[in-house]
Amino acid sequence: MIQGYYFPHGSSRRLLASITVDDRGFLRLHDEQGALLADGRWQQLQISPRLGSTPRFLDFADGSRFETSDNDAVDGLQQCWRQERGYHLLHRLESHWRLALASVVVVAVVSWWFLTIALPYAASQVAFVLPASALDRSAELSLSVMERIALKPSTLDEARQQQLQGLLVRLLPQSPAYNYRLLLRDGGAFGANAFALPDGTIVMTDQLVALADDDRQLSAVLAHEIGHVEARHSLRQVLQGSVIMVIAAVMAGDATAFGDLVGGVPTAVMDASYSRDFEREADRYALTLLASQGVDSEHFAVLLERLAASHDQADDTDVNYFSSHPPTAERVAAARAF
Amino acid sequence: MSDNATSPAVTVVAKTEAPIRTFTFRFSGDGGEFFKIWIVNLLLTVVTLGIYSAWATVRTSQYFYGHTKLDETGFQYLANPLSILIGRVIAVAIFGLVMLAASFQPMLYGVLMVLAIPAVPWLMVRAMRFNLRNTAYRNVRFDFVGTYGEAAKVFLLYYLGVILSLGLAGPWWLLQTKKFFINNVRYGDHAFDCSCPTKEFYILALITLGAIIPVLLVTVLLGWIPVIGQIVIFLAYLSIFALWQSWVRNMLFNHTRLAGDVQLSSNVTMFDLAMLYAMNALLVVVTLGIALPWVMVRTAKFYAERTAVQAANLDRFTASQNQVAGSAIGDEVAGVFALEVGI
Ligand SMILES: [Zn+2]
Repeated sequence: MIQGYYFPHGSSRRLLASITVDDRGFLRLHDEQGALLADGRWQQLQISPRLGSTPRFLDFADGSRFETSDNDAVDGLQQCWRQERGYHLLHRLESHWRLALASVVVVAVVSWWFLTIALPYAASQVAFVLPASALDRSAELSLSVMERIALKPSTLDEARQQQLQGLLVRLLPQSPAYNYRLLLRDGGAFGANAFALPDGTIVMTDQLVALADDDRQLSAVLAHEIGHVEARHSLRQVLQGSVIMVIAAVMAGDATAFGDLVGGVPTAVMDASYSRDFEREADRYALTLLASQGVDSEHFAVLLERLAASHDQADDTDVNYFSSHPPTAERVAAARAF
Repeated sequence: MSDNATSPAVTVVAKTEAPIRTFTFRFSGDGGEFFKIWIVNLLLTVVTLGIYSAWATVRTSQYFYGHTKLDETGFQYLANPLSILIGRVIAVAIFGLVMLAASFQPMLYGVLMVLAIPAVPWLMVRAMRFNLRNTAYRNVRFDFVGTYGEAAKVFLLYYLGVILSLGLAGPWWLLQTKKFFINNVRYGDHAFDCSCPTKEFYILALITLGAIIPVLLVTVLLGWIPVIGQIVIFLAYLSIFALWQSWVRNMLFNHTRLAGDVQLSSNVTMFDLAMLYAMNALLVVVTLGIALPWVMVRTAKFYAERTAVQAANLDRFTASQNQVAGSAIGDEVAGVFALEVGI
């Protein structure tokens, strides 16, 4: 016998009731006084799936409903008269502590694999399928925004500018796949800085030029920026970032109470982590390219140190050098060990 | 507390001839039990590359609805996981395309954002309708009858008024949005009615603004102390947030009735709510998110214990119309765009 509440169709009226099922699967629902309120076959009930200790709702064909907390009795009858393997298995999964703890490990490992291996790999595959011009529009836009907020025309004289243009030309491959060009600008708030736009535009500030005491140091910077362009880092960052954002948004929509907390932090952390990976990749590209031209990697190391020192003096924000970077000490050590 | 709750004999008993009882909500879920459900949800979602997330949503909702009990009867969440899945696929596709448009075609993105503005009220109405139509208590479904026109009026037209009044109409507008959500909710054939006076929202806005001044002072005075300063500032802002949230909730509930004479009530205090938020944040951060299920359960318990209904009995509500569930698309799109549709 299953004790519970009976709700007739069409109102919120509630009656204490009990269900008995005979050995042919025929059920009878009686109220407290023993009056018969409903009957029928157990198989014809619509029964909500087992979910921990939440009450079960048994729906009759006429729209009336029976609610009970006697989950075990309902499960027993379900096993007897109807096999609902899916939800039964789900409940078994959901009621084991050891399994729950193992799940924590599996979820952590699979998420880690997805975020650090699968997603970057897929993004790099897609990035090279898309046309090289995919990000041209946004490159134009970001350049015009930066010109408006910080960059001013360069104060370097024409001869010096020509020299620097020559540095870039010497580094480029035979038939470059991108329209490489070097823009020299007064960095303003950006200070000593260089960055590459996905269409092959490389911007270098006067302050960075002043920081170097050997043009081979500037070649190293240009090689690093070419590395970003050749590896399509902007495009890969966009693709990876979009997937992360979508996942975070779905999670936020899901975990009603803690949406923002769950969504915001990992997005920022993952973005920074991806851009650090890209910096390391661009560094490796630069060191290889420099070595092929007989330039000592020490020049790269020296410039990195000078950059770090100049930014420590200016202010303590890490955002100056375009985006999140690995620690300078690590990059310098990698360059010297190359 | 409303006048009605303290002197029920005058207004209500005369009609129903039964004494008014207070039914307090109770949440009977358990953190450990929900943790196991939560982690299996996560596991299957990850393993099925997100497809299971629709079932996970339904199971989570069913757990929280089912354990939310009023007069020993649980609430019921009736949404079909399949329709949530379809809605979610559409939402993810739209969201992903918009994200990519932002990078590849910044101009197109701008145009899309402008076009999205009139869609916001539609999303909100659909989300409310989906959630309420899939909620039942005592075999009677809820519903949401707000129309797109009304929503557009409140969220677009009235909002324009807020901008034109330089924010002075802000509290009034906030109350209008809350009333739009509450007054369009139906339980069976019965309407909710929120009669919260605009004056109270202005008083609350003034008090909150007044409370921000000492908090700013604390920020200036203690902001430089490395760790302790940051914790104090966090707690100070948390208190302001808790002050606002608890007060708004109490005010709305205590001025809301169902079917004319069933009074809702809420008594969340600012201190309790600030403690809840602080503890929750601490638990989630310290355990790297593993404590989230416990946090969700203790939050549900917290609100349930502080919410009640005053009525002679809960047997008399009727549901004569044939109620059908709405599509999940509005709900899920709204969810993914992280629109908080909260009362
Ligand atoms: Zn770089």
